Amino acid sequence: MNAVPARAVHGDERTHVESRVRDLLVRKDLLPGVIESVDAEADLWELGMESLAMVGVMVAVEDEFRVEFPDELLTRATFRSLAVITDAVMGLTRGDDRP
Amino acid sequence: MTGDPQRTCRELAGGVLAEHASTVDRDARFPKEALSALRAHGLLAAAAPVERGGLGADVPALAGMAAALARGCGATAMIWAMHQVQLACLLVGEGAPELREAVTMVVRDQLLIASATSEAGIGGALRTSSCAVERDGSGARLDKRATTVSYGVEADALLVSARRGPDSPPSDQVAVLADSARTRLEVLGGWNPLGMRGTCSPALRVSAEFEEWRILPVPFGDLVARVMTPLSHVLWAGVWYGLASEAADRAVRYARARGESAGPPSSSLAEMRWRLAGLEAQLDAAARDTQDVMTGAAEPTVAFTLRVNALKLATSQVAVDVALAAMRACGMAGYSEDGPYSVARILRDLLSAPLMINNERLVAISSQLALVARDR
Repeated sequence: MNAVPARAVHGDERTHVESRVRDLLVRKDLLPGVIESVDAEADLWELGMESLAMVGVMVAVEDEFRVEFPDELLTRATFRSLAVITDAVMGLTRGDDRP
Repeated sequence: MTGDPQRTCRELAGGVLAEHASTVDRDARFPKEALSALRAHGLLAAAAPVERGGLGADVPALAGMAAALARGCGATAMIWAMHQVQLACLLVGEGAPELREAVTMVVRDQLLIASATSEAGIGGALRTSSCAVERDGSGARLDKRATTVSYGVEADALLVSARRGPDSPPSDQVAVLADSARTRLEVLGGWNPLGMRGTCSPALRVSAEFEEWRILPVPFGDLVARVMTPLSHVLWAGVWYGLASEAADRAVRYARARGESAGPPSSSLAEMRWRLAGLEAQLDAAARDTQDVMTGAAEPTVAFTLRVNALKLATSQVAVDVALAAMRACGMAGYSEDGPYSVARILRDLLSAPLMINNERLVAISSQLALVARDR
């Protein structure tokens, strides 16, 4: 029974979540000098993100948004770009059917 | 080849592998007789699908083959296992037609592929490179100082990791299938280790020239997560499990030969069995998980990575414990380098297990991953 947000609201929400994710990664010192301005679709792995840094990002995002990624989302693919992380966070926070 | 590959491995282990194992070990030389026999039976192409000319063995079958080979010669089994990992990496993704043709040739001609992923100044950290692919009008090249390259000098080709280009960060890597014919190898150090001496794994400087299509299509990080790390851990664990099983069997044969007059059998016999039973179950489960990830039926998640790391940590330690227990049970006959109850070479070979991707590093990584681990 998921309420589909109006397009404008959805767009605003997305921008908001994405910017919170970006601010978080800046605070966590991930890819300093790059993450501040990088395109949301850019591949963070190609930009130098390392596997251990990814774990730090997973923990930080879970704490920031008070979500818990199920194991099937804890992959390199989920943390490939700001856009994909944002999608995953929105999927978990938006009227989710998880307990 | 006809028949069951695992059975063929058992027969070869008891034959040609065992026959040359002690001179291979003594002289720290490449086990050429064993590798010729594996080639003759099509076993170098075990991991390749049948439609590409291989045996189509799945991961659990490959682990069983690794264990079977290890009973004859640990170094031969380890070379075979490492080669299967390189071959499996080559079979991932749709590369250029030229690459596909080159891989078909690897399978058809049973070419031996080594791996150069370690690097001076970085060590064994797989996911970081310092050297880079450089390009000019005539093609691409790379120059790498690798700290450990097993059987690199004997290989027909090498899978080499490097930064994608001179401007790429250390973690933006590619894997290159470098043809030995266009690669210069300079041996940088000696090779006189405690065990696994036949793997011939000195430091090498690798200077390769290659065509652009020899760069594998899959980003190296994805290849590592999906194939290279899990399959390495499973097949290495298979080798270590096979070595430990052989040690346990020798201890049993020793106890039986002594007969009842020597009193009740050593309690080490029971200890070895429960330790091996635990390893076998863990190996089997991890092999099936890895099969699912390699076919794309499952994703290489944090929990999966933790499970294959756990397999590596547990097997590399417990297999050593089993070999030590076997040596206690066999006494001086086990401590001897010669004779039917010798456990000496097996123990020396197994002592390399905690160092192949150092357990301390693996524990540090796994502790980080554990922060976000979820139950299944």
